[in-house]
Amino acid sequence: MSNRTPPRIEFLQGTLDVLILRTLRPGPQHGHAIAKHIQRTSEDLLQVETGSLYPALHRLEARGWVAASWELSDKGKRARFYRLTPRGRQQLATQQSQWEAFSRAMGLILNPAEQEAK
Amino acid sequence: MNTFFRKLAWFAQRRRKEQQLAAELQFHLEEEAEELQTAGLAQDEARRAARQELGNVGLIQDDTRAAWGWPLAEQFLQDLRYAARKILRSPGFTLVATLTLALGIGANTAIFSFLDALLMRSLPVADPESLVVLNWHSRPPQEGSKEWVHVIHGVQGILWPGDKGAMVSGMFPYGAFETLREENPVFSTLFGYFNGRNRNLAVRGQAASASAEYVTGGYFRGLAVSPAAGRLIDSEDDRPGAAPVAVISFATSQNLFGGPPNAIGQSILVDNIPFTVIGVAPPEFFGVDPAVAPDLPSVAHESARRRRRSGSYV
Repeated sequence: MSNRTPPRIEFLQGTLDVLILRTLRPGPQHGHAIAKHIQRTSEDLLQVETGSLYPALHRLEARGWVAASWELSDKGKRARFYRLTPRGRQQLATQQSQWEAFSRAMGLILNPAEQEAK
Repeated sequence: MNTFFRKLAWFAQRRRKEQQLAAELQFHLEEEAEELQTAGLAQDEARRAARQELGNVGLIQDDTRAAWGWPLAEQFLQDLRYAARKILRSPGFTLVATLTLALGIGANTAIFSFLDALLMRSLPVADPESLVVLNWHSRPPQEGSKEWVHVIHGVQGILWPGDKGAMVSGMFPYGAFETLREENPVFSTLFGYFNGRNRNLAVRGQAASASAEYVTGGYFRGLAVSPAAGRLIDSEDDRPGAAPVAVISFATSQNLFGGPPNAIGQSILVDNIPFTVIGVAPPEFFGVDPAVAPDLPSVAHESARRRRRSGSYV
């Protein structure tokens, strides 16, 4: 796995949940599509391990933030599709604003020069 | 609470979830393989790569199961299974351990049941809380003074030390009992009894050892017990010159006479003194001392008088 390019970023604790929730916002998806979407959208910087993805999905389901049902995929196979629940949508809003604040704070500290330039 | 019930419902349909998770991972595997194939890999190579990408399926399933909640219950079941396997593997040790536990628990239970009846339970009478036991406290004897002597001497087990060298006894002289009964401002009924073990009980020429309780006339009125048959001893039976009468236990009435009604009017010998059975106590009644369950819960006053030397326990 390590021989793939480009080198990937380690997931920060708690980031996967918000990424999954965000990925599900446009509509229901199955596990594999969620993983691929995160990978592609992050320009392959983030690789979701299956060993983290499914525990995370089931954990979100146990918390009632996503709901799952068996439906036919676009290729006609039965797949377990996850969709956001109203509570999940709320959670996404909360977590998203937290992460934006956090990443802004990180940016401010790591790049003080840019800040001064402004 | 919501989460709890959701987890509970899940626990019930655990099996189905296991199968679904396996199917879900299988779908992931196929999807990945298909995608790799589209990217140009050969079919079996794509499969192998997909499986490699998926990683350790057992581990994923374990981690996912943990997300379902109740890993504690799960672990507990595992522990149980492990314990069962261990136990089956060494039956000798198991036998010894089980026997040790069984004997220990059994002995404790037996002792507790006994002490429970003796110390904790109330007597099976109408109003057990209203009963009190009187004890005789005598100050320590002083040299040369005749007023300071103990009321009872030398009977093993019925004297015990009280405060400041005083002696305490549950035994009263019959005269003292009579005085207390006549000048009694406090109690609604005052009665005395005396336990007698190993009495010689003779019925129709057949002798047996029995335990008896010698009681005064107020005994059954004081305890508010109703007879299973016949009548119970009352103060009329306590008069000087009254005929000696006995009340027998429910079990004894069945063993000796074939039932409570048949026992009434029968004559029995207790230590060679003839008594007439006038009544049968209710089945649950065993006298006032749980340590001794008398076969004849009560033999009337006449014998109590005869036993005046020993006094009456009030």
